[in-house]
Amino acid sequence: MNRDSNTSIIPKIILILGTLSVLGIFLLFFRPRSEESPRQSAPESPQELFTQVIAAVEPRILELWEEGDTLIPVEGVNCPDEIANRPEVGKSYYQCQPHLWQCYWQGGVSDTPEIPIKLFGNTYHVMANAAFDSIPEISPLPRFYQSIKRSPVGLNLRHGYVMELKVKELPGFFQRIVLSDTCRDAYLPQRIYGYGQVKDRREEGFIWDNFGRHLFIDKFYVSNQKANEWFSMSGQNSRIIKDPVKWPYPALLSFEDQQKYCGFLGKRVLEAKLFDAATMSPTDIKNGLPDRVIRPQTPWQRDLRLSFLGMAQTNPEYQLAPLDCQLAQVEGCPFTIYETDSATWMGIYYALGFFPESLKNTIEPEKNLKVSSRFIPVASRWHELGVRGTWDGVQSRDMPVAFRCYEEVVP
Amino acid sequence: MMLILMLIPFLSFANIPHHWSSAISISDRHEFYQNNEIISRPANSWQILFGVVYPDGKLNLQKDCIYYRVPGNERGELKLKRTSVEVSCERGLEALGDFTIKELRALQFEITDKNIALFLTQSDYRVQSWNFLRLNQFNNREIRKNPKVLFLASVDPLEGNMMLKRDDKLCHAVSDDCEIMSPSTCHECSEGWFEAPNGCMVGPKYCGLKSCGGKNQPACRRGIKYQRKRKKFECRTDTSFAYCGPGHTIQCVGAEAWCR
Repeated sequence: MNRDSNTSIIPKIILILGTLSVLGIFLLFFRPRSEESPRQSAPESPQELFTQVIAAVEPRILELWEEGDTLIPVEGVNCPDEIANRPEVGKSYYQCQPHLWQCYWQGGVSDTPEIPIKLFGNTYHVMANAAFDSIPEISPLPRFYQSIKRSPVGLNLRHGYVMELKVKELPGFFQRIVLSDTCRDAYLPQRIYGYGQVKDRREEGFIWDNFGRHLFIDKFYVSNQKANEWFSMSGQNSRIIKDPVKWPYPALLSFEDQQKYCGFLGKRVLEAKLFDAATMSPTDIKNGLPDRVIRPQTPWQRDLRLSFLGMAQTNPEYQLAPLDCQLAQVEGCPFTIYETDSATWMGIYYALGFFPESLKNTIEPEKNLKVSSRFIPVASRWHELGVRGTWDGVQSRDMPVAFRCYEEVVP
Repeated sequence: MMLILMLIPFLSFANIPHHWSSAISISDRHEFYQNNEIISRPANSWQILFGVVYPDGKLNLQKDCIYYRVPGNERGELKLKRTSVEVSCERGLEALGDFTIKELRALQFEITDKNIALFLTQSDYRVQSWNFLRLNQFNNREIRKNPKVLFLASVDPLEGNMMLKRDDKLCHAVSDDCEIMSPSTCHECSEGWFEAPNGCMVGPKYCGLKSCGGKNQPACRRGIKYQRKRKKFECRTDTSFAYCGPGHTIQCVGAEAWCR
């Protein structure tokens, strides 16, 4: 009986093993395969492999450059020579910011400054080289970038930063790249615009159009950090502002120097009619050829009386709210810079309030200053679009004047 | 002798132009040869295959011209010659190359937006392939066509800097009939450019940062659409496309509006 039962088990075992084998073969054929096809195997040449790693890291490099502000921890970064961690400075300052790039690779943001890239089943670590001379006025350490101003034949690149990348696992190779300031300006759409104010709402006043023109306006004032780069590139190192706390603040240059600064970069000091175009919101953004061109009195409200500025004019007891100061930093508001709450319809900042701003005016040359600023009481009549004063082009302590540039691009 | 023979593969490896990965454009491309075509005609003649344009470490543009002597009585020969970007590859056709590979049975090349490849069939039928991933990707949909990340070639920079265009030199020729005579080269101006409006949608431009609207300056451009009339603007009959500052009037210089 026992012998019979033993012999009857063997076919069962064979059947189970057979089934398992068939199942195994089936699973072997239909298993999920990795996304890498045999064609995507690692190149044999280390130089080619290096190029592949560099190509793969490009989006991460751009992310670090354009959105570096997202990496900054709440407690700030640890690079006192480069970043001052001031609470009044908004995060936009740290976008396309060479000092943050320097800080990151110096180890001031994380202990292991490297970008891991998974490729061909391996992990490679991309790093930057401190390949450039130090700027003694800023820091004795060698730099991870170098500012350049160049317009090589065939490339429409006037200013940028040269950096050098390496891969930890592939020693002996390096790749130089140029990153440019892709975070700092906004495009002025092509349409009809009005300049200044009109006495009667039925009047059209001075109107013009920018069809066929590609105009880019700086979103923010030119900062001391930007002016420092100009000083450094143009052999004016003695003018470099050494205190990192002041780098995000507006550069206070004479009008002559403002023109030189913008001209150095192939740009011009912002014009009054462009400022009005960029700050006076059109009624119908989709219609570039409207029958009537309106002149809003503020960037957020066509009628000033309905805004907090108008209310303050009629009510001497008006108390500034935090939101008011975000829209227009007037007297009594806390000082902030590089915040983005004051955006206009096309994406520039500081339309009213903040700093007095120098404007080139080709229509009424004497009206060359946006007076509305953080030095003027909220109830002042200067806080209105199209209202301008006169500036003699020389900076004074009582009235610091900021500026920004615009660029016209010929495609 | 043995040592030299052992070194040959390394020497040829060192000559592979890896810097083509930083190409920003292809120039002088042969008008008939197609991608991956085995080049067999015209036999025994030197042909320009293409030029590879790339920025060097100083951001000057350089160009490698690639020539091929098509096999006939003798085997084929590949020749590479480095030159400045303004020089046509035509000039180096008869000159000695910086680098040559002789005894080629066949040659094919492939140029796409993503790769540059050369396939060289040697006398022993071994195929040597060069394949370069193009790192500089241009976004032609944007007004500024530069790549966000510009990759530079690791080659010796050319001596001296490229000459940028001086002030007052015409950098965008537009005829009085609004015909664009040549693409703009205004980005080559050393300090920006200015436009002299002529009533066209796009006006002629000159190098320099001259302002507008003042005495002896070009008139400021005001546009040709805000008038809401479909018509052609001619300086002598209707100057509404431009304006001068207070105290100045428009004077037409040809079709261009200037302020006096």
